[in-house]
Amino acid sequence: MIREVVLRVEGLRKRFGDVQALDGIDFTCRRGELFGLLGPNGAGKTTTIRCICSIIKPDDGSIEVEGVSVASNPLMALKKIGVVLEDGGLYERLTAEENMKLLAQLHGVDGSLIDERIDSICDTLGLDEYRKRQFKKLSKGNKQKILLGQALVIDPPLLILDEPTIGLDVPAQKVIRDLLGKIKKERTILYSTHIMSEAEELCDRLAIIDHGRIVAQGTVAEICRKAGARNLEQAFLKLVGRYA
Amino acid sequence: MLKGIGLIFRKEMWTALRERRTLIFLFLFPLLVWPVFTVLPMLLIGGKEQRAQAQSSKVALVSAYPELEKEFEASDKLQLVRLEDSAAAALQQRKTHCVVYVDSLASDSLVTYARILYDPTQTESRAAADKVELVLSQYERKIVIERLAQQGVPERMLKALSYRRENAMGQNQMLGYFLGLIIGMFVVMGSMMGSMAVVIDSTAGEKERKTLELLLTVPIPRRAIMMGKYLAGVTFAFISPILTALGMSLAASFVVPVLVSSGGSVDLSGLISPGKILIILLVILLMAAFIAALQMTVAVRAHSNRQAQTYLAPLNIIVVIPIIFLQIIPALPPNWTFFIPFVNVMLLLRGLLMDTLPGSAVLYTVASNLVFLILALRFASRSFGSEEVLLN
Repeated sequence: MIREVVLRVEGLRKRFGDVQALDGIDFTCRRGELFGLLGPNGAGKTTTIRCICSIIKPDDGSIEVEGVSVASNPLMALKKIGVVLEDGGLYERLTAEENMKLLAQLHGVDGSLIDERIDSICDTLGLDEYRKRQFKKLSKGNKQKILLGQALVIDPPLLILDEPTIGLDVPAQKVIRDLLGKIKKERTILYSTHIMSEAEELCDRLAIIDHGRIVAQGTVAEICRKAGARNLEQAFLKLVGRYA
Repeated sequence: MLKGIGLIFRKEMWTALRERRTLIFLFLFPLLVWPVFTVLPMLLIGGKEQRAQAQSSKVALVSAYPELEKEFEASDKLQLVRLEDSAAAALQQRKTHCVVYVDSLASDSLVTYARILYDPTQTESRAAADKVELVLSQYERKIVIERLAQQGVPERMLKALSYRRENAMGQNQMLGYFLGLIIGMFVVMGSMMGSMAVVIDSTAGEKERKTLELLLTVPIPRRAIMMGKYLAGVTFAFISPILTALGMSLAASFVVPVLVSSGGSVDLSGLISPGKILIILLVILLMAAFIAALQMTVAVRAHSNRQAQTYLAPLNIIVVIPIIFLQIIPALPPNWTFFIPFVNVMLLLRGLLMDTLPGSAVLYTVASNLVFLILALRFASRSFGSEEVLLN
């Protein structure tokens, strides 16, 4: 069964001065799919995400979230997206719970649903002990969970996670990966990473991006086959032209 | 849009009020630090001057005139001491407040030459020199009268003109002048300081902590995000000068009696009326709105708290410069001065308190602040709409 497209990105281009950051990016994410965006540093993953989230405007191309154009109706599209940005932060003097509540309110979530959702998220993410603590007083791992929590509290059809495990120690990375494993069944996730093992473990399909272009996309097996490689890491290195 | 502005405003206020730095700038500085540090030196200096004038001063007289010595001894404000050291050493060690040398009189001369050696850096020494001058002038007059009498000239011939200086300003106007100078200056500075931490934190601070980018992903127009942040800045820029004015007025009720009268009580309530309060609040609100917009335009271009502070430092200096000129601007300033931002607020405050303000000045001040406010808001809005500025 072919599932409905939640995110459609077509011909995305963006230039910053002399640098062509995105040079015709095309991909789609289907409902219930965890789609990985894999690429080396500076490949264009974060720029793609910024365009999808309407933080920056692309020079060309189109983005649709559940059929809503980000260019012509950005506010409606943003209501459908929960985001965890790379190296992102939250308000340090607010508690974990207040941060989640604020983001829910800003997304226009019905007031009667907010507390219930926060309870459920804290339970799922194991945050009950920390929900009343100020964000600045939490460990990096717990901060990352709260960041995930604020994205989930709006119950979005599309969840965008930009390098959510970067800077975390191995146990914390494992916790976040397990959490993603739990929630991926219920929603569409666009997952940006440069960690091969993560992509291999979590992604249903993925796109390898380099120099602002998608060099391959499909399941891990399809990409390995295309590159004539034994594993994703080898395929990645071959496709981005850095395989000795 | 309005709901979005409200949510952002509430978030900014809430996070700012949990920050110790904001509370210090908003409450501690206007209500305690500035009043205390303004009043305390004035009270100390004023009190010291008064004490030096009231107490008897130690004077060393080097003279061969017993008659003059008697005059000094007769003065209850002078206490003669013996000069055991060099004059400079005695002054330095405060064994005497001044040294008076009276040169011997030449047999054919009618003039006696006296020198008063004092230390102008010391309040007590300056007061002693004043007292010595008074005793010497009284002594001179006595001698002249005696000499004229010997020549058969009556004492009344000495006086050909009588004059005195009179203050054309009422006591309330004098109070208004002092208060206008002090409060006007602190109101502008209070507004700058009050909003600076909040504006920096909500712009460059959010960039530094990477929360601004997340805020840009919420389904609220960017203008609403900017307005929510801006209104929080305006609130602090408005509250802080009012608290400053309150703190300084309280402080002034202690210090003004020392400055303008000699310790008597002063009624400050006569200076202000409900109408004046309304005008002051309106003008402070417009100034606060202008300051917050100006700070926001600058701070949003920085990528960290520290950089924003560096960017805003020259702005603080620009505001302080007119304060220096305020003292030489007359009580009834030319109309064009009311078009200069910050200066007009200080002049308006001073004029209102002195009761010398023409009605047109209020109009000019309001109009000029409105124009500057609109310009600053346009700049702020442009900065906030720029990807380059927001993501630098």
